[in-house]
Amino acid sequence: MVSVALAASLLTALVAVATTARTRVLDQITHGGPLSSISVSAAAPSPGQGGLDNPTPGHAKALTGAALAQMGRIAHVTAVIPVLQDRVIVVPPAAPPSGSRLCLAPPDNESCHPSGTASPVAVPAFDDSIVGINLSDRSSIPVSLLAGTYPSPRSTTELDVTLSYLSHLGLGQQQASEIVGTDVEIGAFSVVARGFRIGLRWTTAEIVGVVTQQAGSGGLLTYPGLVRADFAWTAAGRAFGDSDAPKSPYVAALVQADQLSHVQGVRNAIAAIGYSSSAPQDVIVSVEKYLHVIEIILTAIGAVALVIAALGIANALLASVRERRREIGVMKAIGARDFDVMRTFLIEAGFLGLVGGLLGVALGIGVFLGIGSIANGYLIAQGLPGVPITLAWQIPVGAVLGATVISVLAGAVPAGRAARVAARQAVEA
Amino acid sequence: MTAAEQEPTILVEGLSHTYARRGSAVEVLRDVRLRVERGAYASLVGPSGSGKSTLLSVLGGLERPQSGTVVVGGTELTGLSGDALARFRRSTVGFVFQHFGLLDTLTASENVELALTLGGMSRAARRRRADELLGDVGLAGRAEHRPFELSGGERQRVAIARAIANEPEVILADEPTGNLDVDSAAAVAALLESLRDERGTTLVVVTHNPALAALADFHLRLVDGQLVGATALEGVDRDRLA
Ligand SMILES: Nc1ncnc2c1ncn2[C@@H]1O[C@H](COP(=O)(O)OP(=O)(O)O)[C@@H](O)[C@H]1O
Ligand SMILES: [Mg+2]
Repeated sequence: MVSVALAASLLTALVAVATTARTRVLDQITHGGPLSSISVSAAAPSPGQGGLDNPTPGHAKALTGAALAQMGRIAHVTAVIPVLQDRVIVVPPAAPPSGSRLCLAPPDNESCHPSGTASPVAVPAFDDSIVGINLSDRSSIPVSLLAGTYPSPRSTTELDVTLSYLSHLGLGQQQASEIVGTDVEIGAFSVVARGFRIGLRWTTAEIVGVVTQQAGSGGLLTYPGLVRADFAWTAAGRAFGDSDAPKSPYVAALVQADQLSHVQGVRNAIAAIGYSSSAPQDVIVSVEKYLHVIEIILTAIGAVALVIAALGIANALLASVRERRREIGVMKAIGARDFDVMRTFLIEAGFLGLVGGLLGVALGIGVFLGIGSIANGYLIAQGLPGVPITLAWQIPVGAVLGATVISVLAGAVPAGRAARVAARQAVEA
Repeated sequence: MTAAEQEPTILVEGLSHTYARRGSAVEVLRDVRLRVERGAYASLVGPSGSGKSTLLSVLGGLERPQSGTVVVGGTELTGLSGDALARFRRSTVGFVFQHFGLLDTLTASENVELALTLGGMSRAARRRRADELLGDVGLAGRAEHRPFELSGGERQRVAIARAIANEPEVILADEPTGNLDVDSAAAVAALLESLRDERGTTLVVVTHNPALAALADFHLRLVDGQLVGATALEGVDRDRLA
């Protein structure tokens, strides 16, 4: 029974660790987005590369609303999330918000010299892009929040910034929360008259959070509304000879397939519509294969341990049958049928397995929690997010059931032997 | 006397029994004939290895008869299936062993109840009946004791309570006092005698204990696989039964 307990604990801990590692690795690949997400770029597909995860895109090609609508009608597509983008001038605030340790003001600002040591630097305006995406369904977009909150869906004056904005200000990730609540001026370009006279459309927006994002390339992130307005302003320059002005606000789109196995088909359809796409499908498929192999190996180790334990049970029961021949004879002499004797031994085997399994699973969960907290301690010390230490209920239930069933199976041979012990053994000298 | 009552409880004709041992066959019983009337007490003696236990095994359905006819308590044992033999052992015969044959892990009461469980009795009824039986053998206060807490004589009385639990017609005892001191042996002998006198149970007792043998109605002896003894076929001492 001790061996059954150890085997069951090994099985539980190994399988739990394997499944947790799997979740973690896949999360890393998809940046927290869904496994079957495809990103479509504003470019024509380059021939012969449709099957690659990250093909070199062909020549640039505007991603139109009509094309996006067409993608939405491809079979197995569950969502098309457009990514909008516009180039803007970013002007960080001239004065820090009250109570902040930040000092973004010109040198003459007295409040910047609380101790008279630091020499504050005014941050010049810089060029960047603002990315607009529907942030409501966050499980399907590659965005994760580091500090603050997401902009509110209806506001056109709230936005999040990425770490690149922080570095423009000479700040590190540790200061992310201090930037939250500050204002930023953003100016969209446009050619407003012939002869390339530039006009800027200014918006004052509040930074409500800091994020990392893989949706588009830009230091500012918000809902599409603000970006759409800026884009309209920029695009209007076309009338005054700005042939470089973008034709479409969409720089990319995220297309969701209903499952991983349909990703390639959907990508082919996107190529047929005339756009380049990329998806980590092949990486995911091969990583999943490796993870599966690891899972199989770990499960097999646990299972082998269980089988060895079961052989131990079989052996112990066989010895017990040998030892109890006379007792079995007596049971038969007072009326037990072969079946009654067999059942007694099977129940005994099942009981050993059940108790061993329960003890083992308790031990295995303990080991898993221990390993999990050590691993989390390590990850956090390395500056990486920890893993959630949760255990699917199927694992302990499966281990207990497995231990019981295997023990009963292991008990079959001794039980059969016991049933065949001659009743005559009762009067043997 | 009705016709049914005239039927002997045990009737054996032409029973031979052979054990195959390393190629050679050993004939342990040879053309045994035996007739024991209802309520009779037969003692059986013979040298060690003469086949006494084998004969008892055949009478009690622990061994299938290899030849001849064996009728015990109205059941013809030749050709019975394993389950039918088990049913016969449960309802018709009770065994008493030299080694007592109690299950060490069970209490006295549970040992008795085991026989009733196999008979399909409900838990509460079993409990009551076991208490009653233990009272009958003079062990009323010992129901919760395990075998190691009982003396040899007490263990044998628990075993007798278990043997009579399903009210068998026949008790087969194989050296029941072989492991007992003189006083315990006397108590067991008295108990066996009372089974015959009060319940009309038929007894076949293998024993070399003179006191126990003396209580028998007639004496059987196994010599060279054959049953000898003037009373072997005539059966019961008619005077005693009358
Ligand atoms: N299962 C068996 N297989 C082979 N020989 C056996 C077996 N059981 C008993 N014998 C032999 O049969 C003979 C009679 O045994 P048994 O009936 O136990 O004798 P008793 O009870 O009179 O001492 C002995 O020689 C014994 O060794
Ligand atoms: Mg013997």
